[in-house]
Amino acid sequence: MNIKKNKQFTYLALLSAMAITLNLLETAMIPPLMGVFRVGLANIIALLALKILGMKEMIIVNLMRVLIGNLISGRFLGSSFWISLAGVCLSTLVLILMEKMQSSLLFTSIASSVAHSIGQVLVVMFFYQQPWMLSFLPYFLLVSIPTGLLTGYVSSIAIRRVKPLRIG
Amino acid sequence: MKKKEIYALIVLVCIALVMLVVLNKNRLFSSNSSTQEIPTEEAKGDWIAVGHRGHVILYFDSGIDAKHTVEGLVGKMEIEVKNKEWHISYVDCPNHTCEKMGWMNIDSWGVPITCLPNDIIIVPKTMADTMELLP
Repeated sequence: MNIKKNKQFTYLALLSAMAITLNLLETAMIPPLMGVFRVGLANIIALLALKILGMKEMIIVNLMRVLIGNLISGRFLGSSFWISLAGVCLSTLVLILMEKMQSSLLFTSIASSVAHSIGQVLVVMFFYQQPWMLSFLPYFLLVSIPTGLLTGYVSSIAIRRVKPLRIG
Repeated sequence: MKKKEIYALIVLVCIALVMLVVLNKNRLFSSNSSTQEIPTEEAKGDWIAVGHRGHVILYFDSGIDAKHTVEGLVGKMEIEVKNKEWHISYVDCPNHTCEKMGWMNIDSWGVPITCLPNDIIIVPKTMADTMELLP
């Protein structure tokens, strides 16, 4: 029992570290399309955490990625922190909903990517009082589909590889 | 992917396309919110509007190479215009996201250059005229 708990804790720490690293690497090395559209590579780890560990652990990984990722990059409590927190919160909720509905991995990934975009746009619209941000939403929605497909596909490969190591 | 999920994706794409059309048919800046004279003469390129807090604070001609400076909430923003394209060459802001958006032209999908901290948005005048999101 104790070994199982330790193993799960180790997985959680590893996945959190991977999510933070991917988040930072993407910010530093992959220039966003038109300055605003990102792939969201850390979403791969969120899906991985959901499928191999469970919902509670996926929430922890997602929150760690925003909190520690922003602390490391020096943007903690800045505007981009709140925007990414809103995106992650909404995408986490959608991930839980999709898991309960037993959706396919690809669709779960796309839905989470779409929710991430909507969360970000909503926080800018209402908390930063920038209603024109709504004009970005259709572009975000259209970009979310290929990016969600990509992250979903990569996470399906990763899950197949990690499956033999699965806990329990 | 299940059939239902594919239908959901098709619906999502349709919603996005409808939003794109609807938002482009409404007005971003109301006609009486402009603090700048609305240009009446023909532009060499296209008229581009710079919006700040719901008002157009500057119109520039994308056909004339120039550098324009506007003042935002945080500080200065410099817009460089060259070969019918425009970009942010300098901005007083911690994020520099608008600088990273790079060069835009009239065919850049209508994506506005935006700076949240400065509350500045740069869009073609045609788009500013046909969208009404701000009071």
